Amino acid sequence: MKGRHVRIWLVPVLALLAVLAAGMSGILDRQETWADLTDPDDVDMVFFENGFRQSLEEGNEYGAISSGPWFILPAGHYRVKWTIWGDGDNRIVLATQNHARMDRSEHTIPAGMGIGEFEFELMEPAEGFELQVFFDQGTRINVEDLRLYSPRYKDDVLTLAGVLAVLCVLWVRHCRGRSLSEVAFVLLIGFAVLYASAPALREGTTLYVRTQMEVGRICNLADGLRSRGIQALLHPVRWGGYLFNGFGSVASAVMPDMALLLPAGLLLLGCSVQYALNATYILMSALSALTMYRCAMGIFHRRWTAVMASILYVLSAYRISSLFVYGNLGESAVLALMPLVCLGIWQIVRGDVRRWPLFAASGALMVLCDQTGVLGLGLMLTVALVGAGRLREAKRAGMLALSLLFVAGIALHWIVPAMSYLKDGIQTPGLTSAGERAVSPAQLLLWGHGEYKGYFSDPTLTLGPVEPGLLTLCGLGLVICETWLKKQREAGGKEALLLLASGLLGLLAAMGGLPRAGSEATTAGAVFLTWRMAGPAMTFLCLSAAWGFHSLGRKWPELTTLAVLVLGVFLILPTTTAQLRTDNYLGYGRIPRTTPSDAPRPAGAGLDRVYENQPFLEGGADTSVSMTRDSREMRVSVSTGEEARLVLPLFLVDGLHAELNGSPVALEGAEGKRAAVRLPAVRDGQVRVFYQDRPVWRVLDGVSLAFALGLLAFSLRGCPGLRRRGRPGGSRSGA
Amino acid sequence: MNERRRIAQKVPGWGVPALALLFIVLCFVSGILDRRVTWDLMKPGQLHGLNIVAPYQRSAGEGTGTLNSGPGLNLPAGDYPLRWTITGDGENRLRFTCSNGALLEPGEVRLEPGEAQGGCVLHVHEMAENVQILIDFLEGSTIRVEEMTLTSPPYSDHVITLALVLGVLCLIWEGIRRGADLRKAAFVLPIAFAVAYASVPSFRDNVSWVHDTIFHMARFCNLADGLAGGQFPVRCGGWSYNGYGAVTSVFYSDFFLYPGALLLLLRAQPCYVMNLYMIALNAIAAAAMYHCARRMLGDRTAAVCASILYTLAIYRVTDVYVRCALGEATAMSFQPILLEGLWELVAGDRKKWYKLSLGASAVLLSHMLSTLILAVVTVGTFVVFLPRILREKRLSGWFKAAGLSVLLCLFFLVPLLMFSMQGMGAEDIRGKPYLNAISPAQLFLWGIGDLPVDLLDKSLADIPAEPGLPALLGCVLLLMAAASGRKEQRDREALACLGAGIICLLVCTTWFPWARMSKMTNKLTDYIQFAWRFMMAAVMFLVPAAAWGYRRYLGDSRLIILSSLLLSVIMILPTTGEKVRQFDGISYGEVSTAFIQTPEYTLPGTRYEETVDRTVHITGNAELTEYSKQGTRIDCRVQAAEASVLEFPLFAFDGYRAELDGRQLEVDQGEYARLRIRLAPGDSGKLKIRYAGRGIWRLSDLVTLMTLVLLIRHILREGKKERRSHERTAC
Repeated sequence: MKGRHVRIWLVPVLALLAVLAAGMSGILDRQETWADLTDPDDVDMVFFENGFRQSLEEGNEYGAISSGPWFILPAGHYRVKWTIWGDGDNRIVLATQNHARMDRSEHTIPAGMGIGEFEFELMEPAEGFELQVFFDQGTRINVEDLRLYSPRYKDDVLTLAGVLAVLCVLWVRHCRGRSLSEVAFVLLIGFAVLYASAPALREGTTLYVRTQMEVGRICNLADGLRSRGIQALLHPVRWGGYLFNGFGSVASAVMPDMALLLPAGLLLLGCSVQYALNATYILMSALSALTMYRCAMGIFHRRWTAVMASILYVLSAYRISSLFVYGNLGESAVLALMPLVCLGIWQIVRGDVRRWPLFAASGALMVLCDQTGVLGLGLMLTVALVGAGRLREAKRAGMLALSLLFVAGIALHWIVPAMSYLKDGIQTPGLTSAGERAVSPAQLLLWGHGEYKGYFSDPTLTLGPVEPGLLTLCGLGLVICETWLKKQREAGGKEALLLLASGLLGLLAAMGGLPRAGSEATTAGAVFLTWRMAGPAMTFLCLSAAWGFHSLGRKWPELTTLAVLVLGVFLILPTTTAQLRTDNYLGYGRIPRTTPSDAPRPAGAGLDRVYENQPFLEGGADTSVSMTRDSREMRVSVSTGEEARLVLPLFLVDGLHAELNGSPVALEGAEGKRAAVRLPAVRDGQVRVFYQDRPVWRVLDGVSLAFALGLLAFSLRGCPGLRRRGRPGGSRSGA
Repeated sequence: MNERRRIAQKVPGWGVPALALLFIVLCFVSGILDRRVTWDLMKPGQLHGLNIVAPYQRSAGEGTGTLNSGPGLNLPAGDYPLRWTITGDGENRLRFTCSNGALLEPGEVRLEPGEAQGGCVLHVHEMAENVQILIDFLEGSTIRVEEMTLTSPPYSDHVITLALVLGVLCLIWEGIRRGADLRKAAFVLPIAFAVAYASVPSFRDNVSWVHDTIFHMARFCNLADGLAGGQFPVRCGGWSYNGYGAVTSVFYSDFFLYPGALLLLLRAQPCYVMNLYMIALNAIAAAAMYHCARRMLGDRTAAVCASILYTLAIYRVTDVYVRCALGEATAMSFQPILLEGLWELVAGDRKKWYKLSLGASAVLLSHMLSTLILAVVTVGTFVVFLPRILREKRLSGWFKAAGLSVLLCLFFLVPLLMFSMQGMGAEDIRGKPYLNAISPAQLFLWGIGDLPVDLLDKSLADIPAEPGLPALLGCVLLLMAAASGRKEQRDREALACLGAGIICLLVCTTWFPWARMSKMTNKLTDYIQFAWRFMMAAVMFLVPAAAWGYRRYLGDSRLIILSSLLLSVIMILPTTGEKVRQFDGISYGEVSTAFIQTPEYTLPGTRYEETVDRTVHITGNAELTEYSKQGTRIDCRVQAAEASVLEFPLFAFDGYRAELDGRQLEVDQGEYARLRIRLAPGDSGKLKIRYAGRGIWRLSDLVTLMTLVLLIRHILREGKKERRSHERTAC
């Protein structure tokens, strides 16, 4: 028995070793080569206004002979390979528009030398990166080739790890005598996930509506995680120094970014931005499929109904749109968790009330992923209170209240700092009133074709598909037919009707059908587009529609599932195809600008000055300033003969602290909401600036952690009050 | 049914076909069904018209000169009646010109004063590009152009269509006469429906102007020119490169284009021939895949499903209508025979080793790059199944098949090798497959024709290069069936196909190390040009697997056929719809340009832009009279007072022969690879230039012919044996 056990686990261990070996040896490292920089037909080229050959005899003059390619590049170790001939010493100058720091700014090309290469390190993201060839000496110069090599990324190692992990799971199942036929249905769900993830199955990524913002937030979070190190496990990141060309942002404090931890973690593991995004997109779809399957199984207890619900949900237009039109990772994570919340609340109000921790845990996670999580939770609660008569049972109402307490307790560490920053005037310019952007009923009956690029004069239509989709609507029609027209209602019919009503409530809200004041009050302006209410509604509608299809094809469930899959794929293909074939493309190895206009920043902080990213002294005499910085802190060496004010390339936010030669000094606001320090006359002064949470927030972190641990304990051991009384009545009978 | 059969058997077997043939011959000879196109050159707003400003008149006060330009037609050789109504009180002129130097007769026509209506026949000797009918206002006080129409020569397209329809009806008649149960052939209907939908862009007069349309239409015309010149098989045609000729037939086998070329000689319009060829490709693909799947899977329903999936496979339809890559599309039509041959040699009847030869030869005689791809597939299959082949003693069949393929294609291979050794080839077509490999994302798209813009993401093809939802779905169903634990006899074949298909799909993508392969093979793999070309092999493998998946999941029901048909048709409709509605095209009555602007298969030193000069260059003191050129044939009289050099408007490919009054002259290569002949002082007489080829080529033709005869005999014998064996078993 022991030998068999060893044999089972030997394969996963070997797989792990293979992944570690591949990661450490660098054999699978991936590198982008921009090889056609001198190809005039290529969009990404170094531009030679007067040609590749310059000669004094032909009237050319000394100076820069090239510009471009104006890449936006992430920090990292780069290599340039050149083939340039000349009879004098010339130079390649590295320039950026955002004054990004790098370890060298130029490279000399010796006379006569034809081929060579040099390396340089970008310490910050570079915008408008240029390779400028300078004709400095001699009589002629001929540029034949210029190549730029990106840093080496660990993308393929992570892919290998993912593939091996799946294979290991299958292996372990096989060794334990579990037949593959038991999970054959997963192939259908996998097929749906594959088609739903099509736009992510490539090296680069499309610049979706929010990609710039999301990449900024992810990198900002990664920067914060890097600075906190192991402490990040106890105290979540609130400030990062990536956004706004290094001026930093408290995006993590204001906007919940639990969903961004995965891509940020991938970045820290050495992956490219594109890989981190694409992997997250795929995992979001897979997670949605899994949670919806679990939810439908929990409510209907029928495998094929659950498979259909999973397929409907994975391929629902709204979810695809959220991922691949808007590129909203937070909302996508909320949509992935929503079925679990739905199942959790179902268990509380109609099922096994002992499973209340599911609602608390998934609800808390949802709230910590995106503002829409609050909305989703609100909708679920409304449904629970309105639609479930069993809440009259005291213990169910009590468990619901307890769950909400845990949700609030776990989310406390985000809620309080977020409120505090919003009160301090941190703005998220993209957020507007919830009453705007309610959709017309017409929108709900469309067939989405990706992002609409034109101009709408009708503000009640969205840029991307947010409709429930023809397939879901057909399923809902079947629910109505089945439950109203037939005398004997099949098991699950009542649940399907309840879910249908809940979904319609969500759609009504998306159309602005609910009182505006009420919706604004409940969402506190955090949900800035009313049509987002259609997201939570989709969870209910897909569940209900799956039951409708089940009722239609109860004799041929496999066939019905196949039909649902085919139609589901068919209906999303225009969107995925359009989003792939768009020209809003972020090529591999590159990043979008670090200045998304709707990222949180102090009110009045303009983006036009963030490219001046060097500290400077106002006033003073005989001054000198130099700066070094990393993820943890900024150090400025300063000398001034008189009292002066040191203006820093950071936005002033609560939590930033400064020290002068080890002694705390106060930070004050300067023009453009920059942070500044008032200095006395000082020689060789060291100003250290760093971010530190308020002590009370640290206490809140502890409280949230305690709630999370408590919930974990309840999940493992069960709620004492319920355990003693045993299984409560009506656990499965209602399903 | 019996009544029908009785009536049919009363008629002699040859009666109906003979009547049909007679009817067709009558229609052809009488010209009753001939088709002409008339261009109303004065109709406003049309693409090809006279560019003349309304109100179509000019007075002397506005100045004399040419009134117009246009119509800019590319006309194939033939007689074009021209009619006009032009009023004027002076003597004016009509001039006929073209941009490629082709001879137009008459060059001009005088318009007499007072004569309003007139007409002439414009004789176009060789394909004329951008034909201009210019109205010169020379004298008088005013001129007014009221009407002008140009009519094409008569085309026999309708007669050919009638012949095809009657041919099919005769086959059905023969079936009835022999007592065949037509109900058993009902499975053909869904396949025919698929072929019809796959051929939608061909059901019209015009041809869309897409990637390779010009090249392949030129191949047809060049081949027809070679046939008209008395060559068979054709090696050098005198149509391409503005009449300078091309040996495209040597490098890019046009074995399957002969029927089309013959139709051109029978007065069919080039657009009609192209469309007919495309429909034929779709039908052949359907039939070949049906046969292959029927044999491999042993199930008619699955075979029909496979045939539908293959006919409507988006990549195949893309090859035909989006890329107009007729070579690759032809290879795709025949590659199921190759797959069937592979199956026979691995798991089927080893006596049917010749099927692999037939498939391989058909592919080789269709497209070279496809041959390269499928050779890799064949070798891969051989290596993977080598233990089984050795265990079951099937090795000899592979060698026999390889030998037979060489012999069958010898007539093509010998000239190809000889020309290649002379330094000719298609070096320029080498691409960078590592830059053209596609993202896995592309595999899950919905193709909608080709994109009009270049994408920034170079890892996405601008054409539908995906296996398609129907095939992928079937493959998932196959996996589900395999995982279910209920095994069926042909699961292994289907799963093997699925495995091979997935490997081919991976080869298309950026996940395959194309850059390393290019280095390892010394850039040999660069000839593939596009990594996604491996999609042809992927589709070939995935389709039978998917068909079996549908069969396993849905059972033996008509639902499989209906669902696969509907799904496949829906998936290709955007592509075919876009192609039908495409603006650019070669309109009926016209032909593509003879200027192929790629230096493929040309001699070193060729400059295609110089081919606009169609005159004979004479250096020295020689006189040239009675000059006529028809494709690769030139006849003239020469008289040289002193040593002279004559350079003719033909490329000096190996195989030209020049005779001066029966005496053979030496032929060599002149400026820009023109055909050069040197005349000695006093040489005079009738000079004939012909493309005669080489003696050894005739030998290779003979070997191929003999091999073909022996192969047919062998197949017939095997068929007889098999039938006898069946009868014995039945007894």
